[in-house]
Amino acid sequence: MHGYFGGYALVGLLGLVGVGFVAVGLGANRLLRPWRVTPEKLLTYESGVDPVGEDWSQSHVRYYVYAFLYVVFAVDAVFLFPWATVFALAGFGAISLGEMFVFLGFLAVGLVYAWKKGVLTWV
Amino acid sequence: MSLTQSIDYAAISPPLVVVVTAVAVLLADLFVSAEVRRRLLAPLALAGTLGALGATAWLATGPARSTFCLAGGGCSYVADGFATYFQTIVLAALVVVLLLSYPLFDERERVPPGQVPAAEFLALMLMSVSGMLVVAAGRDLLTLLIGLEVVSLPAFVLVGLRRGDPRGVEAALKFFVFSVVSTALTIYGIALVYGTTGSIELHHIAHALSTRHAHSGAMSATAAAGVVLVLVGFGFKIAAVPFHFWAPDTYQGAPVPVAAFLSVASKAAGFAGLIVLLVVGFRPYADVWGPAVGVLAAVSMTVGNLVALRQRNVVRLLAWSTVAHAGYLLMPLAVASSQLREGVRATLAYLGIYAAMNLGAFGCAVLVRRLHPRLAIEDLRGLVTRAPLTAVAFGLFLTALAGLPPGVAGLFAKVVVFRAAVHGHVTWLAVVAAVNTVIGLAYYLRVAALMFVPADDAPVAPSSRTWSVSAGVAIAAAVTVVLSVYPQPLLHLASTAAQR
Amino acid sequence: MHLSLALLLSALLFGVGVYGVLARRNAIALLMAVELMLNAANLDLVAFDAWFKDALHAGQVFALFVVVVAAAEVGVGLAIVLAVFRLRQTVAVDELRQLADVDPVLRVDADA
Repeated sequence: MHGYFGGYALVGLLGLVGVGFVAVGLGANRLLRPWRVTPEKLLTYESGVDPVGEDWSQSHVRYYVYAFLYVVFAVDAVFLFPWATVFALAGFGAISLGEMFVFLGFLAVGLVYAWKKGVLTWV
Repeated sequence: MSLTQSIDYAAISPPLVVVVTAVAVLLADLFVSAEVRRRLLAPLALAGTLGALGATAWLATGPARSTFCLAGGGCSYVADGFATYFQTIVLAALVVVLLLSYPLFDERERVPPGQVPAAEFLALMLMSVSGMLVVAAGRDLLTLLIGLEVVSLPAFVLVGLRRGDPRGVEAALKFFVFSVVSTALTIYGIALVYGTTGSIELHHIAHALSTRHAHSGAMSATAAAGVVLVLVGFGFKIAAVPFHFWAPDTYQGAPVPVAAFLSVASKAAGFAGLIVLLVVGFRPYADVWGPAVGVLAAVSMTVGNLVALRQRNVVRLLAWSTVAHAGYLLMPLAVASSQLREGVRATLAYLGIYAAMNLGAFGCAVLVRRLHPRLAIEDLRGLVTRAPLTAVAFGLFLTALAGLPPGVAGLFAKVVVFRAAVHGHVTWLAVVAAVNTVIGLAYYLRVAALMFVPADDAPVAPSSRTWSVSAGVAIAAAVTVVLSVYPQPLLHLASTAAQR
Repeated sequence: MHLSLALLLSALLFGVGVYGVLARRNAIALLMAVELMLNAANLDLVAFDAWFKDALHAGQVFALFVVVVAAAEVGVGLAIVLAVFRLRQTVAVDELRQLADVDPVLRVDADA
């Protein structure tokens, strides 16, 4: 249980214990319970309501814009993390803070553009 | 090692001015009335471009400036003669392209089919140019890669920006797919180069690669693979065969001024990055990339010229001609020896002349498209009677591209690259290029001759905003004529730019 | 030597990506394959960075930029695919053949 792969061995052992726990529990249940099926009982359980439609459904393409805006801003936020680790160190300080706000300002222009073009109104 | 950097804002002023202009155009579009927009947007973009051109000229007269430097040596951004040479070409090309695209603009809220939204077009074009300016001055792999991406991403949109144009979006998708795949290859190559050299700064890479190269083995092979993969991305940008497949379709489907922009400015940026990589970073592996560049050059000019022979659309013909010209531009770089500096000088000089004559040719295509929307070559028959000035200008640019009088500038350009190839002992390539020049004559002259066949049509009156296209073509023609008569200043500038 | 494991995984990912680019005809699937290629490069960059113990963390920083580049490419790419679908009712890249070298003149429609 030492070295680089030792940690993985522990994870693997934990995984085996987990699988075993579930298998034993479900197996015992299967042996002990009665087994009388009706069509109602075989329905997919959906919060107690009868399920509607197919299991395959498509979202409307208009949500693409929200997903897109989210991805753009979430991904641009990755630049904040390396900056956050250094900006308090000696030699960075106020100028680094200002530079980051310039960067955020450029992002804000994008957001203002989306807002003025009516992309952000919920439809 | 100090990690803090002070920024020399003077050195980065050209891209800075361009980016600020792009943002200003975008904000102006949002916050001013439609009537003001009509008169404001295009002049604002043009003013920003001219401002950046002024900043570049000022930088070119002073000593080289470097910024984003590391304490251990090596700078990420260097505004030297090489950078300002390319920046000048790109910005001057942008001025002409803006003039060519003015009739396409529509500043209204709802843009009718066939037009492009003015603010988005201008902002995207300025952003793309800011990337080109960064590529010209970038001296590490990260700066070059980000520059290249900033060039490409707006360009995809520009190609497909014309409203309701099914061929525009097809062109954009093809351009996009080829570009992202080649970028992915480049990034993987960069990862390999970083892994074998431990740096992304070009001088450090050159140093580490020379020790790698001395000991052959797995590491040397990995480094060579990385070098080749990185070059693929730039081969795509300059549309060299076999990375050219996107070019004819994209140029044909895009608005013609955008095709002009891609074929000149984007190609110039690609060459800037390619030359910096080859000459500075990957110099120790010259024996790997030298023959490869030579083969690319030979194949590009041959395929480009042969396929151009059977084209029947003006823009497609010009597109294949730009593929062939990528070959001529690569030819001097195949001199991967001690004569490389002269080769770089030849490529730079060729690029300056190519920019003028190619922009002019595409500008004439914009003018012809107004009369003949199909842009079939057959439509050009008798153009001289319908639009005499356009026909004369087009004739000038086509003969220049072929390398014949009266477009002597093209001849000078060819002589310069041939001389560099012969001096650098890649005579076989010069022979291939000579054969190709003859093939080129066939299709350039066929088109030029067709325009001067007499026909009994009346001249067509220009429509509004066409004056700006004519102005763009006039600028390109003036530059071509001046370079035909007195090319020494350009050759001198190219020599200074190649001294590094 | 753990570096070689990371490099092997990265090479495999890259291979899967290249296969996807060559084999898939759906533009969205093609984009996903490109993402695999980019992430293979990222894995390489981060692994080399850790291996060199690079004081500048050039590899890590590069990987961050590649993540952003990938997001930007996908953003623009999806917008283009959407535009293609609106105007052409398809996202299969091999069905887009209005622009080709087959017969340039006959295929030019009146788009002006």
